Amino acid sequence: MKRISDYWIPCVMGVLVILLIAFLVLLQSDGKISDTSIEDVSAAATDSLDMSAMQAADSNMIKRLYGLNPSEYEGIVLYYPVTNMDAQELLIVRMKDTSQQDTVAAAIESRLTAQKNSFEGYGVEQFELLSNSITEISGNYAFFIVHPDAKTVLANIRKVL
Amino acid sequence: MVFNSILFIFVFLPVSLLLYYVTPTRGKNLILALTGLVFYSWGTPEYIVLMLFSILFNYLAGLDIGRSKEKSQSRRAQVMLIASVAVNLLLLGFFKYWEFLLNNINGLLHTSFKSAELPMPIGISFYTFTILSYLFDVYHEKVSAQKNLIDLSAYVTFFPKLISGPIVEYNQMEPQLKKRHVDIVKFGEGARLLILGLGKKVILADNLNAAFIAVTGLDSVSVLSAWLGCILYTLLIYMDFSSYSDMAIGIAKMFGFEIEKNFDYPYCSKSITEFWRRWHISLGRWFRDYIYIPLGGNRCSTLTNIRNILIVWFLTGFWHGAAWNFIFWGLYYGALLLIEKFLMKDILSYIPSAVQHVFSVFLVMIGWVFFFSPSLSFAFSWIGMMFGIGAAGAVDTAALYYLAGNGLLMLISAIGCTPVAAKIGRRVLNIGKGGTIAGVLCSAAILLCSIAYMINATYSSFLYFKF
Repeated sequence: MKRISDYWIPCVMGVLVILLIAFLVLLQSDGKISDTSIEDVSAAATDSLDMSAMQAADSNMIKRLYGLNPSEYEGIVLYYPVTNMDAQELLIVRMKDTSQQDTVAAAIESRLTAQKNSFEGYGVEQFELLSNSITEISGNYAFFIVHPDAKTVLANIRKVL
Repeated sequence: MVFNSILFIFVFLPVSLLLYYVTPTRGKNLILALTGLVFYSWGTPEYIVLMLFSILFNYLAGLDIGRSKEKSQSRRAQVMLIASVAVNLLLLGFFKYWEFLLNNINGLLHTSFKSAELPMPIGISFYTFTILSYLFDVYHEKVSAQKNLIDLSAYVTFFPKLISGPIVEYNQMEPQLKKRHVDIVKFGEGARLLILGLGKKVILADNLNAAFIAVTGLDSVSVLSAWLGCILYTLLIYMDFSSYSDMAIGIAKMFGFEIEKNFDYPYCSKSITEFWRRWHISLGRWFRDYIYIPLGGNRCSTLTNIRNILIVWFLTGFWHGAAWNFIFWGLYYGALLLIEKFLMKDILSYIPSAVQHVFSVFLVMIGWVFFFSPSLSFAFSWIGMMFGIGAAGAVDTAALYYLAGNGLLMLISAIGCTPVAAKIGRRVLNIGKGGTIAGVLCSAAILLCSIAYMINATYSSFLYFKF
């Protein structure tokens, strides 16, 4: 009993340090910064992808569909559906710093909700595609992928980050 | 959260004061701890985890060191001190020095290690030193270990000094955590200091900063521009940092705490040794008490004394920033202090006082160039331009434009660096009732003017926040 009372403080401190390390690892993985240019990331995402149902968006279209101002970010690449009857979409955002994550996440969430509302009830395939979409925010990059091969796209992106 | 924001002046501070004064004495330290945590977590709430860890970890470390000392287990106390100091420094190093270390390794070994660019927790250097002072004080038995977690939390998170000092050593604050006194006069004195500090920051420092940015951003720099930039920064850094200290001391008074002054008109010094007795006094005292004296101070051989001085000034530079220019800046002062101590000691008394003043300020100004430069090469290039090397002529229209536009601001700031204004203020206050009314009106005018600036200005931080 004496030993326990003698060493409980260092033990608790050890546990605190382990928890701190876990917190720092979490912060690190959440905040990983990539030097890869948005052009390289975009190329990795689209090179082996069927892009026939998507078209590149200009700044005005990005503002209209996502409410994001491209001049406030390092770069934004958006491919949006060629017709209103399709839902395939690819958004890549390179942020200036991780403080922009929340804004981008909210913009993606808002776009996804709007698209789901549009297709709910009549576009079963499109709705399923949107339901299986991938949103990933990692460090200074954010991705929103609505595509049958979304997982492959994400894997290709991760290779170059 | 920053002191020079509308949110702080009109919401956070009044609410904190109200909560503090309506709470019974027993609960006041809890209010201080909670308001400190809210103040700290504003902006980057995730880092409150770090603060809570620091408090709890060091509370336990202090308890163990204190208990070991009581039982005469000096070995265990020593091991616990070393371990807990190491954890605190590793945490500081992770956020502040990791990237610097990796960049240097990459440069030397041609590797490409990457670091996650996590934002540095605001004020981490200040609060780490605050916490370390607690551990050292308990170890050296200057104080007993704090058994009340809330009291220790109040010491660490006391928001006036939390993110940019003054670094209050635990032995100075401990008696005040138990008992402190505040009356209307002390509260008023605190409010006056807060208003003066706010005025120094938003009226003088922010405008000096705008001029400094404009001058250092010039495409071609003449000799006059280079000197102008250096003079602007010399005034700016004093106004900016001392204003924060004024506000911190003032707000602390409003809560009943006495914090010693952090600046004592440093530009009036006649030597570099004197300058460092007057500049950032709390940091100098911290290094003296916890590094210089434990290393042996000056009660040792000359060679060991020189080593001790260089260690302290290397650390002082490194504390300010993870970059070679800061390390150079620290060692520059180490070298100057050694020259004064060992070579100039007998000569200084023969030099006219005015020359000593001018020469000291000149050396300090050269030091600031290393401080404001993004790199060592930039600093040397800027100093070169101050003496005509690489400068675009002696005088140019841009320099004259900025000099004319900011001359009055610089003059007022220069006067503010001397005790003249404070002396006039004291004399006016001593006149009697009329003096008191004039003082109140003057403070009200500064406050109104500051608020007008704060409403119009965009967010402006304090220079020392990045340390």
